[in-house]
Amino acid sequence: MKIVTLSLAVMLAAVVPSFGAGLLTPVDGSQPPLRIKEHKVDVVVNNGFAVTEVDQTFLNPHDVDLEAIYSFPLPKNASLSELTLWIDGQEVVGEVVEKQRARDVYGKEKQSGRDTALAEKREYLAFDVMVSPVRARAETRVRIVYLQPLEIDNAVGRYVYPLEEGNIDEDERSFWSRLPQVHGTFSFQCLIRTAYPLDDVRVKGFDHLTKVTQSAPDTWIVNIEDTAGKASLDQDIVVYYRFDESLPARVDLLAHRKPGEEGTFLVVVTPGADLQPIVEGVDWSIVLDVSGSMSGKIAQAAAAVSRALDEMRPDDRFRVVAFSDSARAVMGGWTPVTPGAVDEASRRLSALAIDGGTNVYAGLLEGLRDLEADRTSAVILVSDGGANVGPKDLASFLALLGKHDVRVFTFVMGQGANQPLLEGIAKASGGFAMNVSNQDDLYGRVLLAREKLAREALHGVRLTLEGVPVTQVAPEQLPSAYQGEQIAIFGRYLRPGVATLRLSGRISGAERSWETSVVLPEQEETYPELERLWALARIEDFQTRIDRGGNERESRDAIVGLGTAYSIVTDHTSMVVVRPEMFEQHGIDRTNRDRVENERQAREGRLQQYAVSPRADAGNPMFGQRSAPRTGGGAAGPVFVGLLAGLLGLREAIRRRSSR
Amino acid sequence: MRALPLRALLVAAAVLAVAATRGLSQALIWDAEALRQGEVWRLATGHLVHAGTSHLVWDVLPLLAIGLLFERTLGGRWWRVLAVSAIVVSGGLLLTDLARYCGLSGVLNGLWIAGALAAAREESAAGRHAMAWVYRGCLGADVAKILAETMTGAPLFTDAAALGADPVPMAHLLGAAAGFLCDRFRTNIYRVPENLQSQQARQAHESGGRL
Repeated sequence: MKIVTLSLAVMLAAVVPSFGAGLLTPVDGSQPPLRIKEHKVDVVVNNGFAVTEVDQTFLNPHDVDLEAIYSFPLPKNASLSELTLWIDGQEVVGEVVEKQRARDVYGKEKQSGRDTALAEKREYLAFDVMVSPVRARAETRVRIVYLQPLEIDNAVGRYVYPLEEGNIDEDERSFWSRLPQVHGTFSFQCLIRTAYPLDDVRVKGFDHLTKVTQSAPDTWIVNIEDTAGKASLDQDIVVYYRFDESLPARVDLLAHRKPGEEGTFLVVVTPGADLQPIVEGVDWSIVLDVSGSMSGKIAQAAAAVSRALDEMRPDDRFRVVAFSDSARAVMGGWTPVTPGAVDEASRRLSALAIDGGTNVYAGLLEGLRDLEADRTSAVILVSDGGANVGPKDLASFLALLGKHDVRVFTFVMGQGANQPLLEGIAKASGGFAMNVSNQDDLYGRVLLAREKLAREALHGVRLTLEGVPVTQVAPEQLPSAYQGEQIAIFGRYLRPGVATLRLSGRISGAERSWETSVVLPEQEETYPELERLWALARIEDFQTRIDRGGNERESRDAIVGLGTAYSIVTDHTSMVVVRPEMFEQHGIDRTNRDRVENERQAREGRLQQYAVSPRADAGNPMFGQRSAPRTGGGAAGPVFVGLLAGLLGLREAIRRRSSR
Repeated sequence: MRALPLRALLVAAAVLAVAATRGLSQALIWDAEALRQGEVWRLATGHLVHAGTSHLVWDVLPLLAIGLLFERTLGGRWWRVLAVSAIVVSGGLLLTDLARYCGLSGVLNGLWIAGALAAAREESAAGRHAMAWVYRGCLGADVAKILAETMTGAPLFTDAAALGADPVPMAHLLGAAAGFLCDRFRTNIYRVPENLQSQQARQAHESGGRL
């Protein structure tokens, strides 16, 4: 059969815009559209990381073979670890090779008409999956699996299945149209398994189809299903799971080690909720993105900022800066936070023209103007886009920040923002970056941030293990830890034993440290995924070095080495699937096939048993407090009101009768 | 027509004013850390703050109902019971690990207990013994509910998720204790309403001087 090919389809894929999830079809009509027949998502959240399996079936209703290009927004810190294509009814797991080589292999296989697939990472924007051919009047099934560490903030875990639109470049949009509709069954199941008790699980996105059940003390299940063929992959699904707030501050440890080999560990420290309030006033510089891509979000962002300003302390001051192609002050001088001033800021924000590109640098530069040395200052930067005007490299931003003593807090709206850049800015200044899905309650996220900023933070954080040889710890530099945040490190250990875990840092200039002992086990094979998660954390460190202007070649080689050794799709490595007999012809080892099989068996094994507590300091607690502050309240409730109303009625009736 | 519960309406107006005034909730909420730093007004004002509309509605409605039921019975003691309950609840919560607290329900429990005990006596004195026992039965059921909530840590008959804050059964227990204390140490033994005095005297006469 004739294969309709796109000229340089793979190359073009490098410039497709960051739409939400969906099949991409050229708008020029050079290829008729395929259909997504089924889209099935299975997520398992287990002890600090999530495994997401996306099983998709494409349908080609036409009389010619076609190529499918499926794109989905890049989940935060995700490691794409499996691309499986069904060929002649059999599963064939992909292998990771250097990016250009993967493209060459895919191109050759496609040209020769053999079944092939390719998964690439497109910078910070998306994963693109190409499948060729989807046979005429036939279906093709693929499975994508990715791993990602999850953070728990103030006892609330948050998992996002990203689907909705990110930033959009109108020029690039002219090349592609996106087909997000699932014509058959769409299903999403998220299994949350934890040895720590959960209070509540909530879901945003597809609300009317969502069912949440607790099937066992350690298991909650979120189910979303649409069999009517009406589901559209254009809104995120955000799952929140709230832990019992009586949980203690603690140290969790997961390890993976086969006897005689190097082990891998993940240590997660949840500090006590004892950071003290900051009493002096703060100057807030609000820097808001008003570029074209914010058109659907600016009202929400402005309202959230206004409401958050309402909650600031009376001795705080603020100013507001807006930026698109350039930056301008919306509220120029420092203004005390009063209801009138907030109303005025809100009015001016709502009158702004939403247009143009995204010059983050100009916005930050304006936001840093007129800082006063004797006042604590903070910048809140809200953006949904990648920097596409002005300086775009992290090194330039770091040079700018180096001239000011200020913390920058970035709110990344949607899935298309340049997350590495905004996170890099926040981390370098001692602030934090917070992701905000459009499904999130932005006001709630801003308030959560304000709560953090109203308290002291642990700066210059160091988390070390002593007594056991430990190497290749990632991340190399830990960010400041704010109220309710966890501190996590991955690393390798050369031999088992008891190690002293020490957390140290500065709180309001004073050195503080805590320690406990943890056991790095001789043999533990429950979580083989830890190896990939560790490798991903290392890769992010090397990418940060590149972004900061370090030795690019050395770091790039290290990324390629880790990507191929641990089968991770990165900016420099891609995953390719070919017919089983063709792997050998292309000189590609089947290392990922074995790794995937091992991980699948481990996942199935974990589901057969109760969730095991990862707590490592139960016998020798590192902290003495709770992990989250409690906010309480209580209402009398409708039953009490009913009782009182009944009493009132009865009393009146009896009194009336008595008086007669 | 019975008189309006003006005292309850006044408290309800204060609650609504706090909810409607931007930024005020943060300055008034019961906050353990702020209290330790000397912001003692929060001991009283925290009860006027609410975490959301649902929380507010399910506190203001019973406040008005309690006003209609007991304001006349409690008379001048209304404010005393309210103040003692507020202080007992706020002070007692300082002994817990709670970071922040808001809501009127603890205080309502104090008003309800003190009011129902007084009303039971009033009904009994007026010869309406059935009604007096209804009050006592309701009091018993409420005390059992509060004890059950305190022991399990979970609220009965309340949608905790809709409140916007975690239920604190301890606040209800403290409020109830304050209500009992106010009743036990009441200084102005309830005044028999004018229209009951003659009826009471007649009953005393018929029963040989025993009330």
